[in-house]
Amino acid sequence: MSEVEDLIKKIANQRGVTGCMVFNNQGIIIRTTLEQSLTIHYAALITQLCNHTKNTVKKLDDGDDLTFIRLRTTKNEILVAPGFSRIFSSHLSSLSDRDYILVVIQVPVV
Amino acid sequence: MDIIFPYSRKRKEFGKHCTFTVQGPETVWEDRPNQSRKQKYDVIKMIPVAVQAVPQKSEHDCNTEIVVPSQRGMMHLEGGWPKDIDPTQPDSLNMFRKKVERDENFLLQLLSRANSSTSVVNQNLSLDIYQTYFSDYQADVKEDAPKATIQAVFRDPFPHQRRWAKNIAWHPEIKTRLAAAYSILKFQSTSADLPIASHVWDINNPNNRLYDLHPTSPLCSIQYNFKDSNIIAGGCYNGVLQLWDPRKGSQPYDKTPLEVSHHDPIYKVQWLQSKTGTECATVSSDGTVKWWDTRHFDKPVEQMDLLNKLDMSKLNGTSMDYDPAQGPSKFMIGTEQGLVLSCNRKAKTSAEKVTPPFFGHIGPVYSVQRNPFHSRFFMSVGDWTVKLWIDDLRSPMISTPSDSVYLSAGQWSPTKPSLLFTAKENGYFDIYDVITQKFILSQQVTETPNIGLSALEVQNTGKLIATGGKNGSIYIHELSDSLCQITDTEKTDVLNVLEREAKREKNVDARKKEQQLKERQAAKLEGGGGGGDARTPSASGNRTSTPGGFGVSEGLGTMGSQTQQALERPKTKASRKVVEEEEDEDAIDEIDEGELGDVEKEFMEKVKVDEDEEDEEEQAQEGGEGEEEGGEEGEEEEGGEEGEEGGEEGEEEQ
Repeated sequence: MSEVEDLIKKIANQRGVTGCMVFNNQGIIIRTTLEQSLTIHYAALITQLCNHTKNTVKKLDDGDDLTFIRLRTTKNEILVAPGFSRIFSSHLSSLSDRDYILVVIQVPVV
Repeated sequence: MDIIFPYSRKRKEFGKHCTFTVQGPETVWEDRPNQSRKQKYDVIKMIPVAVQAVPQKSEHDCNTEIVVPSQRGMMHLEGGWPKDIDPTQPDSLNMFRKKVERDENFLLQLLSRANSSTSVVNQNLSLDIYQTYFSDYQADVKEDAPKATIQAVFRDPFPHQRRWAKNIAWHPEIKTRLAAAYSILKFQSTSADLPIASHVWDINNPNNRLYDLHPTSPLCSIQYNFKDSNIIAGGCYNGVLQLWDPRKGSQPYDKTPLEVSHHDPIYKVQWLQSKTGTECATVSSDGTVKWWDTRHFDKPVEQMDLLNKLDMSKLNGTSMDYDPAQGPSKFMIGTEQGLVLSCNRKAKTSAEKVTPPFFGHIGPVYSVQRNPFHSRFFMSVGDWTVKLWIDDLRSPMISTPSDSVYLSAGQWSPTKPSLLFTAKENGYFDIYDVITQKFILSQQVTETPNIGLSALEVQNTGKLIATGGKNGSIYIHELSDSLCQITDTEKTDVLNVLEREAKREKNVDARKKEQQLKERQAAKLEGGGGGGDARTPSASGNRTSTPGGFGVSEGLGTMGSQTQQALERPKTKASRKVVEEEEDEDAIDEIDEGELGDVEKEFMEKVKVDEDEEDEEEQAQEGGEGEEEGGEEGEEEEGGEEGEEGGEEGEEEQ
């Protein structure tokens, strides 16, 4: 539990990061550093975006999979880590690594 | 007529067997044709009967119900929770969350994701991957073909009345919004049921207007306040100025009282750049310009009458331009009589308030505007041409070739100093380039050429132009980049072109004056013996010596000098005009502003005649000087000469 907290906090304290959120693939919010209504908004929209993008990549090439989404907007950058099946990875016990989505909002300041 | 045949039989004979006998036909009654009646009737031999072997048809029209799209939003509340959990109870939610977090899988997955995210975050911090290199380096401007595409069309919600979109104002901040004033300015075409509302539109929603403004009489001009873009000023057809705040509703929140307002439609209302942002000016065809302060709307702060200085006739204003670059009190007015005036509000005497007018147009001047980059130059749009002027000269420097239809509106591009946009009565929208002095684009805007354009307004970004048609539709054009982006040397190029034209025009003037002077000289030398009086020689002498002289002059030449003088004095000006026109056409072929130059010359002549000519010697001397010196200084020289003449006259009298 505390490890989870630490992890999230570490990410959120990086320079430029305005918020960090974890959802599951149903859009249920597990953890967030942003305000509740905004997080709900993000949850709904990003899970949809993730699904859509994943399907697109899969259908174009079956062996391919979505690893990361970077949405650069005029005001900030939205980083979405949807998880993907790493066939050769040894630490995965379950086949599905797609249960959760991590979202980081950052204002890129060089 | 009864046909009766009595049949009788004796009673004692009843019962007897009938004996039938054959009896021949007997005419019982006959009705012969009446010949006399026949005379009363004519026989008609042939009666035409129309027959058509075509299936019967009837006409019906039907329209499907118009679907009115409207925009709705949907709110997403929390969802996705499994069935057994009630989203409203935060405890159960928290339990669920904790359960998830305890799952070891969760941590593993989160770790991997966190790693990738962190690396990306660091990447963003170290390098701007979207950095534009050479952003200040201007690409070689490939002049892509000038194009203006119609982005949106706002149709009048009441199309049957054929209102004109008379004036359009872009919202100063929201780049997609504009307000439009609808009215019909054709004489006596307003009907009782003409809808008098004006509308505000947004480009993103071309089918429905944003909101309406309800004035008491149709609006002819409209403008947003610079400081507070919630305030809209509208000038009405009946001369009243009204103010709206769309947040407060569609009724005006203030209006000027009828007694002190204009008597004619307000053609242009303009907000002034003042500290308070509450001042506005209105111009109308009743010949006045009024300034108002929105805080005290019961009477105008100031009022000015438009007078033609030369003959003191009243002028009707049809357009106005208030250029803050020239100063807060200077402005230009275009009039119905075709004259353009440059006025100064703060001038001390009323004489200085309105300068002598700029002649040129033969019809109402619908638009006048100073060039936003070089404010000494301005353009005016009216009759069939666009004319470019400079402050110093009373006649136009450049005049476009006359078009086949009237021009109804014009404006400079706010971002490109060389472009001028015009709207025409046949529904065309033109773009004129000052540097090449040609029309570079001409496009049909309205559906048919008999629907003209009545308004044109460029957005301050220079990219979008709204043109209003006489059917009430507003067309939004988007310009290609080459038409709205300024190139490096453009500002100086335009300045050079305009200055060159101005110089040329000044030279032309100077040349004409020199020529006049020469003739007068020559005439004086010839006809010097004839009239002792200093006044006559130039008048009569001029006429007799000119080659193309007309019969009148020769006839009059035989009369005594005194009577000649008396009779000819009033004719002098008229005849001289004609003479000079002939001369001009001969001498100055290459310049096509001969006519206009004449009108202005006439003005100059009147001034000269009033000043009086004097001694031949002095004339000859000055004439000689004038000839020697170059054309450029000609104008100054002329001014100097006139001053000298005046001085010498004073000496003579003494």
